[in-house]
Amino acid sequence: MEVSLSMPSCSPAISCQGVTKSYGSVFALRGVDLEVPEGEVFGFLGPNGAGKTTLIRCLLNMIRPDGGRLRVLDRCPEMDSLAVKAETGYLPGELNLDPALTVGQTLTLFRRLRGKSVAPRQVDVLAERLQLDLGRPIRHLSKGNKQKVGIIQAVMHEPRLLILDEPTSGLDPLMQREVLTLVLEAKARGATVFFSSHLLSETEQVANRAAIVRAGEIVVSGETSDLLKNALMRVNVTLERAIAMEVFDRLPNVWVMANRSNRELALQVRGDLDALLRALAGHGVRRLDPVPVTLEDVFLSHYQGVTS
Amino acid sequence: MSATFFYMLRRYRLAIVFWGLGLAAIGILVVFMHESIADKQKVMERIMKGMPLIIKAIAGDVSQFVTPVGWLHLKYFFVLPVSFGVFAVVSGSGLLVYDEEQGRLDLFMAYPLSRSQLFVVRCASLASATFLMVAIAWTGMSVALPIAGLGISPSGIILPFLSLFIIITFFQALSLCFSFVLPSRIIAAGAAGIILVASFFLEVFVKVEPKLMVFAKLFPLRYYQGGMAIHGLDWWSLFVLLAAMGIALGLAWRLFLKRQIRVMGEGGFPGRS
Repeated sequence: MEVSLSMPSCSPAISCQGVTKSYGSVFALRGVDLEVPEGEVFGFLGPNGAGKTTLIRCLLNMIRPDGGRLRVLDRCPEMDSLAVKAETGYLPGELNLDPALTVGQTLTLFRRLRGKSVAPRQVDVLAERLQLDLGRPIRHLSKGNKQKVGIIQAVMHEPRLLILDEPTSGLDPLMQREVLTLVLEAKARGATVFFSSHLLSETEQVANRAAIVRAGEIVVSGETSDLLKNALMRVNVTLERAIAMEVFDRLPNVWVMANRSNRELALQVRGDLDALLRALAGHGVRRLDPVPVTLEDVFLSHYQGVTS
Repeated sequence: MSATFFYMLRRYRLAIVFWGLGLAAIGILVVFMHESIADKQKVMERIMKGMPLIIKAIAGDVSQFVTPVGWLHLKYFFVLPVSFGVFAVVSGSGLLVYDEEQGRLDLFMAYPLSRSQLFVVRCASLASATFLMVAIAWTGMSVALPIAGLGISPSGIILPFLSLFIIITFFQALSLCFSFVLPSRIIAAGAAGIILVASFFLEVFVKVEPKLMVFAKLFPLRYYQGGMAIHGLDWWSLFVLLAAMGIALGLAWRLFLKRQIRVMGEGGFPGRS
């Protein structure tokens, strides 16, 4: 089957406006608004059940949203699904392969399903790179090795859009790094990568932008660097003299996370430390250790009921 | 599309070999068994006379089964839809929903193949596999017939096997349709299986209770000719079956186009997420 490939455009690779989806009485997506510019690596963060996979499956027309508007590569995924799928590589979150086939047979099948856009050599190169034995039966593979098969089939045709649902799940750290390298390579050749994860460290490594989804809603979205900059900072403080907790009630951007005898405190601070330092000044600050903010902190701040 | 077609055909390869050879073996056995009762009509009639009506109904009319055509119909073609029907309802209900329940359909659907193309190519692969099984069964019987000397040529049994092929593909279409309506593949296969078995017993009982004909006419096996097609096809029966199959396939296709492909953990499988 031949599907014409369109030239990259200025419009976003993925655009979601007010997308809703429910399963009976369970709301999986509650009006998701999201835009992923072309050529970017976008991290879609959230714990299991937050709605990540549901949104991805809507993007690929496997399920239909109840409401809202979806565009993928400037096309409607339902009306123009062939063109969308021709230019997209997809790795499902729950990868299940035919256990009766070998790795080689599986990848040959996927290569043929792609049509003429994939050279057999391309599959061999990727398999070698991910240290995958093509002769092994799928049923004998570990979860990590199956995941490698999934990754190869997703990237082998060098798609314009890569949608990866938890791509490093089940992989050892070395292979995780290799997969993230593949993601960066895809970005380098101009592809857009949309990947969901609950591993924040990997998102931090590769994503230009990220969104955090909670109970079907995007709670925060933006440049990864901005998310880190605006995030809560953790500060561990050791004082010579005890401090009254009421002091912190008067500081709007400081929260006490842990307290030992009113002298050893773990605090979360938003913005600069001026107000905090002034409040601590009369209590003999022995140590003050700001802990570097990670995307993990940003993520957790949205999941521990700390409002932004 | 050819990649999907041959992949599916490969998945059916064991079924093709075992069902094909199994049906052929039973056919050969039935052909050679005819000799043992061919000249014993009087004895058989005497034995059957004392039997309850229900046993007579199940065994079939003695005057019919001593003839080669009647024998092949009653002992092979009439009962075959029930045994071969097991394959029909299981394969039909699993044509797309099996991969969905296994969590594999997502990946296939991410490739540039429309839902209609996927539906058509999978139906074609199943129909081809079924055709190959029936062809193997026909070949087996074709080898046995001249040796057994039943006076029926291999070409003479093409129409009964065609009739068998059509009833089996009808049940595949029906269970495929059910698989998109009912909650699971197993339930769909079970529902289609109940219709198959009910239809078979109605066809048996209608011989002893003609009032049941009104119900039998509502069930598919009434329109299955089996071995009697050796005398020629009944076009009306064939049309009814093909029309019903067309409706089942059309409905299944529409349902698949609209289907929200389920995956575990996303609320698609109630009670299992």
